[in-house]
Order: sequence, then structure tokens, then C-alpha cells
Amino acid sequence: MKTEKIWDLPTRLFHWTFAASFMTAFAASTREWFLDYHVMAGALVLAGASFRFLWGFSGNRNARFSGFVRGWAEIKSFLTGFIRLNPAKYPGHNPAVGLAVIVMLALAAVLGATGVIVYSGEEMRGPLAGFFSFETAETAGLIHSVAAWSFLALAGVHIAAALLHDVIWKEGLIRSMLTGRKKVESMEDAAVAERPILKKTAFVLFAFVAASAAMLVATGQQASGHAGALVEGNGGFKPLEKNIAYEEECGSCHNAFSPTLLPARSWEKVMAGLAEHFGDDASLPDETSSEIRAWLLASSAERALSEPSKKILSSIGEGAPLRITETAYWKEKHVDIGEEVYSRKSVTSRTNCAACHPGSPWGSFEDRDISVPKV
Amino acid sequence: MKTFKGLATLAAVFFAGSVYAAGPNAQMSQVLDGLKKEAGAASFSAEEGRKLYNAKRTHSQKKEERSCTTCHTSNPAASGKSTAGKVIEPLSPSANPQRFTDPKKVEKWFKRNCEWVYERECTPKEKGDFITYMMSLK
Ligand code: HEC
Ligand code: HEC
Ligand code: HEC
Repeated sequence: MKTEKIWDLPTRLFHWTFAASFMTAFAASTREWFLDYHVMAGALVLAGASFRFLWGFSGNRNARFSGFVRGWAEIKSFLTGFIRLNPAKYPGHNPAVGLAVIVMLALAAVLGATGVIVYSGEEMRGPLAGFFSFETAETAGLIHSVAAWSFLALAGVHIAAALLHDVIWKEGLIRSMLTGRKKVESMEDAAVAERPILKKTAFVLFAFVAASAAMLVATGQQASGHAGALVEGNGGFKPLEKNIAYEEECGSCHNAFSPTLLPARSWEKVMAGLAEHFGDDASLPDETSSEIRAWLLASSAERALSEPSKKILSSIGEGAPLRITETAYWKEKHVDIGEEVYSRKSVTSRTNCAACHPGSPWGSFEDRDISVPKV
Repeated sequence: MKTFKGLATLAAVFFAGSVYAAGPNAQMSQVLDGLKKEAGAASFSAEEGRKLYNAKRTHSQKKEERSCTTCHTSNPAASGKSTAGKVIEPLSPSANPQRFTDPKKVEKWFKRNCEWVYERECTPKEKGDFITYMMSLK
């Protein structure tokens, strides 16, 4: 037994960046306002996977697919040995890990592709912003999360197995991924010296680092500025138009709610009942009220191209709520916010949307636009 | 001679303008004149307006005490708060020059707020007194 170098530096770097960027992306998917970080980490996962794919053809022996991708028979016999707690020893990846590498790379590709579709159809952002419909994006979103959970499960199994190898059989696997060195049976098993990094592959590596850096910068840049809701207009979509009468009349007792967050049937009900409006008399002269009504109907949730609009619509089914704050979607999004926050001096009420959503006049409730006042 | 007349008119307009800047604008003075006729009153009283502003009344259905001060606070120069919790800019023109410049807006809110507090419309006399009180605040 000798300790030899078996993992080249690019493979080790890939391994840990891939793990870290996936975990970051996963953690950042739990809150909408982390979306920018989720996307950046996701871009890294994708860049890592693409690099690893190319490295699988041009890296050193233990890094090449040909070095560790085996047939079913060999995978089965390895797993049988593993279950009997007597796994066959491999200097590089064993057949099970070989399979896991392929599955993880495939999942990363699925995650990347569906992620771009969700980003395009739901958030109207990214390289294909607005290209996919909301419905396509929702289906893609489902696949995206199934793939993410599968990835997480596979990573869990992988970590558990690695721990077993290290704790029971003392193979020093985990350390080898850091130092590159592992105990091997013979010199022949060591593979690193055999194939020096070629100029070509160094170039590939460099290109990927540059490309992912560019992607990070690009997503970072998109994160500034307000992206308002788009509403259907003659033949296409156009930015939400402001209406002075609406802001003046419906913005005096409370903030002027975004018309994109309730369906037309709700706005009809609100406008028909202004004389008895939540305990107040909000009635208007006929001409003003019909102008406002027409504008609300033209910019209602059905006609708006924005994620919250679609989600509010599906959360209310056939209903025609008078309140945005009553919809299941709104409640779910604000479940973490306590009464204390709403009573802060610069918020005063849950209906003061603009206090925390400065983009609300543009119909933007984007996560990067959310800022909850501290006092 | 013609130029002199022109200049004199100009000066007169400027003079009138500077006087009016402190009082109601042309539209609002018309409104006040109209209210005077309707009320059959020779003049309005800022003191009566002050009383109206601060008067408290229990709502017949809601059984709660209501007043103009509920939303506008006891200081007309301070910011208030609507029932929906939105900040209301001060009502006094001394603190908020936009106030009492748009007759339609004033009429709309008189109608709404008098209903809310008194469960009836305010009389022309009450409106005139109220505007006079607000205008008198320094
Ligand atoms: C006289 C004051 C007043 C005016 C004017 C007014 N509202 Fe309201 N509105 C209220 C009050 C009070 C509530 C209840 C607020 C609360 O519960 O915090 C409310 C609530 C609402 C809500 C529900 C908010 C939620 O909880 O999601 C909508 C929608 C709404 N108003 C629309 C309108 C529209 C449209 C207009 C203009 C035609 C308008 N309002 C004008 C007083 C007013
Ligand atoms: C006290 C601050 C606060 C107020 C007031 C508030 N929100 Fe929010 N809102 C938030 C926060 C924080 C989130 C993000 C929640 C999360 O993703 O965990 C959010 C999320 C949302 C979202 C989802 C955005 C997305 O893309 O996921 C919508 C839509 C929204 N709010 C609409 C409204 C509307 C409409 C109102 C007014 C009726 C309102 N909010 C009032 C703080 C607030
Ligand atoms: C329920 C809350 C509330 C009460 C009570 C209330 N107001 Fe108001 N008032 C408002 C709001 C909201 C506005 C519009 C604020 C804005 O335009 O910024 C307003 C505006 C006005 C205006 C318009 C001024 C202008 O030129 O912009 C007048 C006049 C007025 N109120 C008179 C009264 C009088 C008189 C009373 C008592 C009888 C009263 N208000 C009580 C909420 C209230």
C-alpha cells in the first residue's frame, strides 16, 4: 500500500464548488427574496457541470468517464459487495459513484434548463425573459423541484456512503478529495502523473471560469432597476400605464393597490360597492368611476403578465374576493410577518403595500424590490 | 399711453396675486362667496369652524366616538391617519399649501367626512366656517 496522488486539482476544485453551489442554490430557494442568489448559485452549478462534462473527456485517468463509467453488471456486483459490507476497492471512483456522477450531471443539466424556463416565464428575467408562457414555466418549475430534491437525496446517499468508507474501512476518501492523495494498492493505480494537463483543457477550464463570471455579472446587473408588470394591450404586452384619477381617488385613504393583483370580477364588485366600502363611503361621480373602472379592468390580473397575478388567480379559483390581503396566495407570502411589523410607524397597515414594495406602483413585487422598513 | 395701461394692469394683477397668495385662490373665493349666498350669512366665523373641527359625536350605528380629529388629529398642521392606516398630509394650508385650492376635492371630502362623522352633509355655513378656520391658521 502506498499513498499516491489520484485526483487532479481541477477535479477536486470542481467537486467542492459543485457541492457548495448546489447547497447554496438549494438554501436560497426557500425565500423569494433570495432569488438573485439562487440564480447566481444555480449558474455556478451549471457552469461546474458543463466543465465536468468536458473534463470527463480530457482530464486525467481517474477524472475521465472512461475511467469510472461501468456497465450494470459491475455496478450490481459492487453494490452487492457494499451491502455485505465488503465492497471491492477502486483507486478512483467506484462503479456506484460513477453512476452517481452521471446522474448528478444529468440532473444539473435538467435543473439548469428548467431553471432558465421558470426564470423566463414566471419572473420575466434571464437570457430568455418572457419567451416561455407562464403555464410552461409552471410545469418546468415542477420538474425543477423534483430534480432538485432528487439531487439532494442522491447527495445525501453519496455523503453517507463516503462516511461509511471512511469510518468503517478507513479509506480516507474524503481527505483524498481535498489533498488529491489516497492509499492505493500499486503505483499503477495512481493516475495523475500519467497525463499532464494539456494546453487545450487548461483553455477549456479558463473559458468556463470566464463564462460563469460573466453570467454572475449579468444576473447581478439585471438585479437593479424596477421591472414592472406588463399588461395586454393591442396585440402585445405593454408596461402598466398609470392612471391619475385612480391614484388621486383610490390612493387617498390607502395606497393605490396594483390593479394586477385582483381579477376583473373583483374590481367590478369593488367599483359597484363604493358607497359601502369597508365601512367608508368612497363613492365617486359617475364619469370618474367609469374611467377608473375601465382602467382597472384593462389592467386586471387576467391581463397582466406577472407571476403574482397568475398565482393569485389560481389561488382564488372561481371566487371574487374584495381584498388582495384575503387571497390564499397573499396570506401565504406574508405568513412570516407579525403584527408588530405592520404597526411600525413607516408601515402603519398591512394594506400599505408600497411601504415594503416600493415597486408596487409599477406592479412589481419582485423580491429584489422588497425592503421592510425597520421602524 | 397703451403701454402704460398694459403695465398698470400687469402691476395690478401682480398686486392682487400677492394679496391672494395668503388667502383663498380665485376659485376658492368664488366657492366661499357661493357658500355665503347659500347660507344667507354676511361672514363666516373661524371660531365656529374650530368648534366644528374639534366637536365629538357618537355614531348611531358604530357606537364609537367620531370627530374630524379622528383622522386629522387635534392639530390641523400635523399629519393624520386614515381609517385604512395611510398617512394624511396636514389639512392646514399653512403646513400644506395644496389644501383648499381645488373646490371639487374640497367638496368631495366634505361630503364623505361629514357623513362619516355627523351622518349628514355639512351645511353651507359649517363648510364656510371650516374653510375660514383653516385659512386663519398661521
Ligand atoms: C374614504 C376612504 C377610501 C377611499 C376613497 C377608497 N378606499 Fe379602498 N379601502 C378603504 C378602507 C378603510 C379599506 C379597508 C382597509 C383595511 O382593512 O386596512 C379599504 C380597502 C380596499 C381594498 C382591499 C385591500 C386589501 O385588504 O387587500 C381594495 C381593493 C380597495 N380598498 C380598493 C379601492 C378602490 C379601487 C378605490 C377607488 C375607487 C378605493 N379603494 C377608495 C377606504 C377607502
Ligand atoms: C410589512 C411589509 C409588507 C407589506 C406591508 C406588504 N408586503 Fe408583500 N411581501 C413582503 C415580504 C417580506 C415578502 C416576501 C415574502 C417571502 O418571499 O418570504 C412579500 C411578498 C409579496 C408578494 C410575492 C412576491 C413574489 O414574487 O414572490 C406579493 C405579490 C406581495 N408581497 C404583495 C403585497 C401587497 C399587494 C401588499 C399590500 C396589500 C403587500 N404585499 C404588503 C412584505 C410586505
Ligand atoms: C375617516 C377619516 C377622516 C375623518 C374622520 C375626516 N377626514 Fe377629512 N380627509 C380624510 C382623507 C383621507 C382626506 C384626503 C387626504 C388627502 O387628499 O391627502 C381628507 C381630506 C379632507 C378635506 C380636503 C382638503 C383639501 O383641500 O385637500 C377636507 C375639506 C376635509 N378632509 C374635511 C374634513 C372635515 C370637515 C372632517 C370632520 C367633519 C373630516 N375631514 C374628518 C379623512 C378624514
